[in-house]
Amino acid sequence: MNKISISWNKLKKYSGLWVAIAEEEILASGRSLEEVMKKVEASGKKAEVFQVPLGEEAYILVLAFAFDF
Amino acid sequence: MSLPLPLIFDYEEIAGKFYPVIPIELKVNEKRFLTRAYVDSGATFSIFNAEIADYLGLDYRKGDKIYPAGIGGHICAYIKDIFISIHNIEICCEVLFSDEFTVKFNLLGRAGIFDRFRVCFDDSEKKLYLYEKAYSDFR
Repeated sequence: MNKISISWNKLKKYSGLWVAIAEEEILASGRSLEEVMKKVEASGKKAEVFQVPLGEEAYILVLAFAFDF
Repeated sequence: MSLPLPLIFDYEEIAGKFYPVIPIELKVNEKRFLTRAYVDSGATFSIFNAEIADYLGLDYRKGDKIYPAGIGGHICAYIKDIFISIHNIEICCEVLFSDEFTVKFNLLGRAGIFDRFRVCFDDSEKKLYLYEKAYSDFR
């Protein structure tokens, strides 16, 4: 499972969307994971699928606690 | 004692900043989902968007409900056991799924993962090192 390398310059126009990348190219994109996976499965290719972060968001990620109310 | 050879991942550039994002594969029964996740040592649990659970055919709402809190408040999430693979090393983990998780990163938190690997963030080199622990160390 090697990391598929793709530059932010190629990804940034997909900010907020789901994308599938295969062979270092965008294979599919969409607002829902379901629609993207339909395109991936139709292609027969193995793709890495994720949401493209919003460039302007500041990621200070803290998820330290879990409350069971 | 010498350490085993680590898995080494280059940080990912996102909008001019670099983050420890690595490829992972999620597995539920025979369904697999290849994606990437931000390795977050501050997160107790890994957390994923609920759409991923739906794709995997996982009825995540049957999991225990909890309220993970971050600096933006808390959200509702559900705990489920799934398998996560990192470079073919498969780990059974408790993870969270939430339809209120709006961050556009999957988060790879400590539960299950940091038991299995010694984790080294080298921000100056922009590399993440994962040293797999011996079986006897994490059991």
